[in-house]
Amino acid sequence: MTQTDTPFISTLLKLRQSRRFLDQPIPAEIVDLLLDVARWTGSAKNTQPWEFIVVDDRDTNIALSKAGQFTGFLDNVALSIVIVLPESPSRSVAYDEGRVSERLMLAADHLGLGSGTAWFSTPDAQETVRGLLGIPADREVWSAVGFGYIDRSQPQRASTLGGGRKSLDEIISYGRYGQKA
Amino acid sequence: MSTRPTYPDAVAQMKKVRQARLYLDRPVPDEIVQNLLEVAQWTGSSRNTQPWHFIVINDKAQLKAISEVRPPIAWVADAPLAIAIVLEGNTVINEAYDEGRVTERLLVAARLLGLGGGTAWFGDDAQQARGREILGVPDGMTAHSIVVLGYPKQLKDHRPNPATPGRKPLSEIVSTGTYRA
Repeated sequence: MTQTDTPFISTLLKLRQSRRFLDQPIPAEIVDLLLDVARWTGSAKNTQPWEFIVVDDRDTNIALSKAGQFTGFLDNVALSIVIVLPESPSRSVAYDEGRVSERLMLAADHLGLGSGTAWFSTPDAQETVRGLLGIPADREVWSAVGFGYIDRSQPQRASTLGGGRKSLDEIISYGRYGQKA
Repeated sequence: MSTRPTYPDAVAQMKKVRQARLYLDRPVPDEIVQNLLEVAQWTGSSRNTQPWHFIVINDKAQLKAISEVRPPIAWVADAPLAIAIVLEGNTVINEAYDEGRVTERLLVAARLLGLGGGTAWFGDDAQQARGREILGVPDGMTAHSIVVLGYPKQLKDHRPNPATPGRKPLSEIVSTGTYRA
């Protein structure tokens, strides 16, 4: 059994999406670690409903950055991992995609990298990504995770989004919805 | 001085996160529960919508009632703690992805706190309705799953119909540059 590791928890609490990165490549062995962490992520009934496309070409990442409404930061990532899903994905596939994305971002943080999610939310955006990456018609693509070494001289938050989180009091109940401890 | 674990440790721990469904008869201390709730609170979500509410469940009778919603989640009856994820019910796919993200972060945090965690799904519409009733979830909101937590007794899937363990090899799930290039 692992020991209680509170320093790790405090780093989890501080993890935020990064959007501005240095022009510095990610070593191949770090990329391999990320992919292996992704591979071991749990999924509904262990279906592992994912494939990953590693994109380290700047021009391709710039093209991906223009595909969607919230994908702009991909223009300066060192690398992106595009998540390919089966045809007609169910709600449970979206949940598994969230799990693997979160694990990738947690692992990235511990490898000294920043990361963020990019959504290809419209059919047009998805079609663009399909074309760029040669994804066949019987696969779906909804999102990517972008990675890089954080450029700490620049703000990381999208200017249109509020930061912070709701208070625990607002989001936690005990036993039944709305019941406080 | 930072006491943050070095990256191979943290990443190696992440790779070992597995579903735990059998727990020791030992309560989870309040301060650990508090840690987990803060981890959930600070998880990222689509456009920082934080579409969730969490219900802490540690009452034996309530855990038993949940375990009876469908046979594959009978193991929930013997857990010391669960956190139910209630969603706003606005956007199905985004909320599913965010539910996956917060679940993954809780499971990783649980492992690093010396706990084991497992996910339990309510199931079909009627079973979800039963879950909402047990938890007093207001109309319009949804509840699909709970994250079950405790000190693990064993990690092997003990259910009569266990999920197949192991994972696909990287060569089967990873492409570079373009899909299956």
